[in-house]
Amino acid sequence: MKFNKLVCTAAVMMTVLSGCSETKDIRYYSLDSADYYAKTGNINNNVLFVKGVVVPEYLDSKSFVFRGWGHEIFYTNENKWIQELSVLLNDSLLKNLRNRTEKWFVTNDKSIKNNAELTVSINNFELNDKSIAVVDFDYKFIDGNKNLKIGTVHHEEKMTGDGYDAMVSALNTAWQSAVDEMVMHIDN
Amino acid sequence: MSKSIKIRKEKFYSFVWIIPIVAVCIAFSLVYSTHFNKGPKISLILNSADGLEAGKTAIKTKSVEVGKIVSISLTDDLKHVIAEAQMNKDVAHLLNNESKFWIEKPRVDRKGVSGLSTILSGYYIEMLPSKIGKPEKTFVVLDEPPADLDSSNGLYVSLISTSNKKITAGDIIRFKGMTAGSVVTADYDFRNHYLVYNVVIKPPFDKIVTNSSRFWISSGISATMGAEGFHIDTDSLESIISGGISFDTPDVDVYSSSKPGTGHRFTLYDNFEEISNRYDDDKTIDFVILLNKPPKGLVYGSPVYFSGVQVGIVKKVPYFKQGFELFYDEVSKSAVMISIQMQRFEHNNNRSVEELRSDIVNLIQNKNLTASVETLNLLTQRNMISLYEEIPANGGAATSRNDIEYFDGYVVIPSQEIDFSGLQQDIATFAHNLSELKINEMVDNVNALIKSSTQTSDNLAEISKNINLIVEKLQRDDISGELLDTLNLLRQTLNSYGEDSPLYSELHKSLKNLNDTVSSLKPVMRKVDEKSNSLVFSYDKQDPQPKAAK
Repeated sequence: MKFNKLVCTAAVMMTVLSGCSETKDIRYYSLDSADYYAKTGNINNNVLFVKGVVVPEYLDSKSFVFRGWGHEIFYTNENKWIQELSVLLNDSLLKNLRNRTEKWFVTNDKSIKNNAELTVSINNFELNDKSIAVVDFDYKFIDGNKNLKIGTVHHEEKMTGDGYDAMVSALNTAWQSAVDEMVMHIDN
Repeated sequence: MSKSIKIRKEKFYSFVWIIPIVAVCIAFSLVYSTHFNKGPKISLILNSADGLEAGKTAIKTKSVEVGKIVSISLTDDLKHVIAEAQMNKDVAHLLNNESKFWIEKPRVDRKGVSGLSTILSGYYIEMLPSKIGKPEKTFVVLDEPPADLDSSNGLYVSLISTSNKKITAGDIIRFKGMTAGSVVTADYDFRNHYLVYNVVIKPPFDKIVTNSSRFWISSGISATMGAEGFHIDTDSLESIISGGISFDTPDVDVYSSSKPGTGHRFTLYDNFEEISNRYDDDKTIDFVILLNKPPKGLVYGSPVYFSGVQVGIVKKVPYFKQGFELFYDEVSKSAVMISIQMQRFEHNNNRSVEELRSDIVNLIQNKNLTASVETLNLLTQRNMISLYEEIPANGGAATSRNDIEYFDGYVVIPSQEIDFSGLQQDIATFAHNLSELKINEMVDNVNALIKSSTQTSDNLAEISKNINLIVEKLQRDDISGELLDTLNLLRQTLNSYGEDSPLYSELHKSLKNLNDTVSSLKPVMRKVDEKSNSLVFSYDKQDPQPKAAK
């Protein structure tokens, strides 16, 4: 009898304890950004300091953001960015700039004496209600002669298939195109 | 009778031990989560621990608790206080040399009233996190919130001022009365002897700032006693209380002018009038007027008119030649320098100043352009310069002046002295007209008018008497018939509100629509009641699947 009671108690406890924990499969996504190659030479001239990517508060999380009809906003629970969006975009911007611009040594290290400064403010980085990935940002670039270049870049990319992989791919394509356009402007 | 004894071998282990083992596991997991999920410990250096309490005072960011003060002690030199704080793990990456801390407490300053909630909740330390910067463990707590909390956005420029008016860090910068930025720092440049204010213009106002923008100190109330009289100008009530700096950009320059870079230096004008009377020096031409008598009532800024349009101002009065010495040189005529400001009347940017100069010389030579001093304001005894083309009395063509006179290198506009600046003539004309008035005839007319009004009054009394008679008659007569008519009319009116009437039908329809709307709102209201923010956020557990556009 004692044995049965113990077994029952243990079984109940195990059930209760197992009920307290929840297992959930979460899939994580990252933006594709190719590895960059290091540049050599004298970096005293043309050091571009990337001040940062400013992301709106509602977007700056690991969750994907969906805009539903009206004011409804979905934050995903099972599919997420591998890091907060601002961190991802900061890393991606640095790598992309290093690959795309020949003119500048790109850094986010404030201690390095820089000639130019770049700030990017994201306005939109999400899938809209028509399943189009929209990337929209303002940038402010101050070159070595303290000339200011400001601009807004807007790119849209249609999803080629269903699912989160396709969505991340579309967002990444739009983001890369937008960065390309910005680089063309600041390099001229 | 034998009694058999059964000997049972005792088990080596018992299932009872499962309970303490499980308890130990739970305790271990709790210790693990408490110890290893802790964030970093940081040191905060303060001037005073006023209002802070170890174990209670929280560190917050946007009202979210991100850490707590765990101990407070004095520094070795007893000059400061060190507060050790335990931060949450999730903010570890936001602690770097760009992060800022300050004590949030009730404040009443020129920005308004803030921190009232801390009266009940107690002081707390606010943190301004930063994602960019070198990792740091020791922070100096600021006495005041940073002047610019959002340092990543906006245009940073410098304002140069020689004004005695006080502007301090944190003062508001306004564009057309709206808050557009703030003063970040206020310093004095001892080498150049002027004040330098570093200011930030926040988006979207930073896009309005061009190289042509003008900044001025808006003190709230300004009173000036100028050539045009006494002038009081008040700003908005907010500006009167807090003062600050205002700026504006000429409409035409917002898109055409080049945009200033970070650190661009602007002049900070003392007040708005200083700007409104200021014209580009390269768009003004100076002339001299020579007067027989010393000019009275003319001051710097007195207007210069041409055909009723102000074209410039008096620049120097009296004006002396280079090297002139008052007590040794003979003064034959008093010179006044006037400045013709091209921007007041010329909107054609293609025309050069030299073209305008030759136009005016041409007017002097061929149209007898003449200047005279005229009265501007009788009360303040201020005068102005009036330029006009002298038309010959016979209406013929003006005689041309071939020679242009120069005074100290400036072209002289010939002047005509008008005694008493024309005022005497005006007074004489007025007196003459007054004497011409036929007073006796006017008195007779007034008498006739009074007589006529007396008659009118009598007639009114007669009409009033007749009305009284009619009323008495009505009271005597039987008016039941009229009363019946009125009652019939009232019944018709009430019938229009009956069940079969169109009005009733419309009302019924509207109420039904309202009822339907309320019914359809019930599920929504239930959801809002359960989760107040469910209208904005979705609580569906399943993530929506993105679909490609078809």
